[in-house]
Amino acid sequence: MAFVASTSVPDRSRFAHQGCLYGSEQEFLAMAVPFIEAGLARGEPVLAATTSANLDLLHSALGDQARRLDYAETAYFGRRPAQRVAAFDRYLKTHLTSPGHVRVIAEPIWIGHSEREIRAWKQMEARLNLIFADTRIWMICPYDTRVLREDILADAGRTHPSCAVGADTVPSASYTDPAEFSGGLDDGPLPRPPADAAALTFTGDMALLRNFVADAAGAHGLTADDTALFVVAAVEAASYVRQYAQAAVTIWDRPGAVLCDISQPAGGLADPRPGWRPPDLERPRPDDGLWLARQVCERVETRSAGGSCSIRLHVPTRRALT
Amino acid sequence: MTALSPIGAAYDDGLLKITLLSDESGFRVEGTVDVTSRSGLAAALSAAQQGADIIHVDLSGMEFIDMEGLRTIARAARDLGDGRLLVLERVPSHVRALLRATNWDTLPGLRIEKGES
Repeated sequence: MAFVASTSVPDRSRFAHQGCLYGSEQEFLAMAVPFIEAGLARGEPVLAATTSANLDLLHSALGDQARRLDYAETAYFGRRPAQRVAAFDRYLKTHLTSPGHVRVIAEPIWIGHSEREIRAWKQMEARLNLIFADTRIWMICPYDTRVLREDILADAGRTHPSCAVGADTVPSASYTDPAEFSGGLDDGPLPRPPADAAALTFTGDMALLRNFVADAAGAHGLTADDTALFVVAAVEAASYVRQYAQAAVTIWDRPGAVLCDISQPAGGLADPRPGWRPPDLERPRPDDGLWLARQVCERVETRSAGGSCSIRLHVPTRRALT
Repeated sequence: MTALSPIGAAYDDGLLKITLLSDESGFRVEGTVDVTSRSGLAAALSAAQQGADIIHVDLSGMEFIDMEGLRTIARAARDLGDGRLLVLERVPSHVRALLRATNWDTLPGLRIEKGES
């Protein structure tokens, strides 16, 4: 199959999301330097979130122009997929009045992640196509072929509609519908909460729910601040599930985390993956509260199958912070 | 500078309490902002919009705020328009984290003071 490479600039009313497989410093720079220079020349915001090694390369290659490049060490630009989406949204929101595209080089981190996290990052790459569909972000995601596994490199083609090769754009033949791709990587059913978990049937009494969650979180050793955030996440999740009927709330702990399960045995979720879209100030969506939950929790899992649904929140207990 | 209307700004429903600051530059919020009490916060913000260019809101007593409560604050800041500011003061760290999580803390009309409560 022959591809037509083009050097045209994408439509600025639509999200452009490109992968870039590179196997050397030269290949990385051949993509990044023209992309950054063209953006800076147009007065567009340009962000490079990549490895510290690649940032050094860019700062040397760009010379004086590098002073106008926004940059981040990618491992700290959103620690988990939900925070990564928020970081992109934040960069977009801080450049509302800029011209043209908002250009982002965004290199995901894969090394050292658990298999579950790798699936979650792959799903995020696919989901970005939906989440930012109506934005003027032009994002190129570099993948280092010297160090990454075959499945990760192959999925870069499935999650990006096109690839950047040097300054050219090549359509991706293996690009897959994001919902289909994400669905194929879903984890199995959630393990049941332990029998001795604290339990509450939530029928809409917010004060009762807040007190229940705060007491259980405190009993499991969460700090006052973490407890306050956990309560908000649980209230938002319960309110979302409660749209369908009463919800069962259970809380328990395991090494390193407190978990809260909100489930509803007689109703599926309208949206199987709620809470991934940044909230819009003008247009409230039913799952905006779950965006908040995803941001303040370590992890939020949602399941909807066989007429029942569950949302599971994970909050770390003994993580050391710098 | 125009003083806030005490009628518009004061509120107490047992869950959420709003009182004017003594210098009338804004108000203090204590307690819980949820689906039942949100209208009280919205009314106080709306009354304050009729007054001075800079509105000070002391959040040190805020125990809980949900997504729609955060939206109420963000919309008030957005509605202020050019050169006016909604200044959130003595913000508890959990509320600070929630404001940041929405990314609405980037709105030009909203300022979150550095010091914690």
